[in-house]
Amino acid sequence: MAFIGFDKVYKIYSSGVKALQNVSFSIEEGEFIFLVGPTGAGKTTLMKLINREELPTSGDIWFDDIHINHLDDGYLPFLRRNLGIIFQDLKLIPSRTVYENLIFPLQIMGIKKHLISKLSARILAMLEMENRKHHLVEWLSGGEKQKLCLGRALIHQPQLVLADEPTGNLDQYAAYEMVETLYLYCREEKASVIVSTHNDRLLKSFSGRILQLDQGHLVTDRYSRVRVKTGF
Amino acid sequence: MGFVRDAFYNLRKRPSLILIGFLSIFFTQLIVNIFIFGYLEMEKMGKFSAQSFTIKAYFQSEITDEKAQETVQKLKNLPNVSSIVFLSKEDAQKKFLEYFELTPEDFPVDENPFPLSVEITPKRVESIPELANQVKNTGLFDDVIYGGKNVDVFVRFYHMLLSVGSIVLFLVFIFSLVVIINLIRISIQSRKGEIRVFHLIGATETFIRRPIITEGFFEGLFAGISAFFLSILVFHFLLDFLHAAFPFFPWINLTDIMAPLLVVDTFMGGIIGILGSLIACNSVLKEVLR
Repeated sequence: MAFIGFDKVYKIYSSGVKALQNVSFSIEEGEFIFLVGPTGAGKTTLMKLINREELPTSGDIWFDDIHINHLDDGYLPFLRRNLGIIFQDLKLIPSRTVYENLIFPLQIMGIKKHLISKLSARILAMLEMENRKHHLVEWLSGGEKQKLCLGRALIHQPQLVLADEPTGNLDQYAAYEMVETLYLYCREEKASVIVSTHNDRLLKSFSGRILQLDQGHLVTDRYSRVRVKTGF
Repeated sequence: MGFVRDAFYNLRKRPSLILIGFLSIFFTQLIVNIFIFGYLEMEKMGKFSAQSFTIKAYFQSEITDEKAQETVQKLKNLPNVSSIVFLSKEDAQKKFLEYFELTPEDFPVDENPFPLSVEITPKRVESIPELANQVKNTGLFDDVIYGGKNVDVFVRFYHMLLSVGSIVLFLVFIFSLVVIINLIRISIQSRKGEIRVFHLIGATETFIRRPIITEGFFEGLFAGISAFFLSILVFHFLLDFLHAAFPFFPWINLTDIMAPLLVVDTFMGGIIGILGSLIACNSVLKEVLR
């Protein structure tokens, strides 16, 4: 069975908006996927369905043998602990420090203190934000906030990373760096990564599978192969 | 113990809400403390007065000494009896003569007219009417008398204090609980975004509830402890004054009330805090996490 499976999934909001229509695909473990499409194509909805933020109107969604849409609410947190999510609106807590925001997933999982400091030090070094550790999030620039989201999504080494427009506030170079980090994480940890983006230049810079949505329909499912180290 | 740190973080973050909650529990505890003070004072008065309020019961004339002694033994076993003294006909006559400062020659009678009797000292004044009834119901006594009006007034006042106190306590407890519930609801609503983030990245409801309930507990505990210290200070000066002004009255000592106040204040403060946050969590968390 596939790592993630969508089977004839429809999502129609109560307003009548048809966000997804008859979407079926499957993703294997360790795949790097670009989810592309214009605004309103259904990319965010698709991400929310995997995270069980939304339930499909019909159809089935599977994650690692778990039937997500029939999952009891009590098990939801345990599903989400397997995911690392970069939200489109970041969802950081502005009144808390960089460090506190970064370690939330580890605290939630009840990880021991010494391991938390070890993992957080590694991630802060990777993000080059060691000197920002005790700064409040509200003091950070847009790009730094985005980087922090990336760190929070990866710190607990999830099986699946969902990145919803993670490069929105970033310049081309920073956007490339961010996707490269996700790409390397996917390769090194054998985790699946789904990145939704509008940025065509990124698609040309990384090998991966491209799922294209348009008006809620999955219109393209193809692979692109490029040399990663090419850069911009 | 991350949730304790989180609870203190939340307490620091919302000082005005915390202050309102704190004051509401604080004043509730002060009212409770006044009630406890009154209750303990009544208890002390009751015990003190019990020495002077005795029940006198006069046996029927046909009751023999043996039967009377047997009855005294039975009465001794009643739960509210502190002590019981049996008065024979001779003892009664002697007492009578002593009271009126007479000699037997001043009171010449062929046959001792005094009945056998008992003097019962109750454990608590408020139990006198009930105890007197129990004695009467044995059917062996002609007359059972006790402090009469004084006792009745005391007992009525005691029961009134208990009833009014219980109602007031219940009302202030409910008032305080409602205030805490609403304050914690506001606190949860103001943290809606934060809580949703926690939930989205995999926090269980227990993980989310823990700091909120801890926050409520500490708020209640601090308010209770503060009320305890203020009450002790006030009662210290009040009792000093009362002991000096009315030295013959059986006032309680400060040390008598310290332990009950500390236990009730910390326990009740904590309970109001925990209960308030639990109810608030149940009512608002589902809505926030939806």
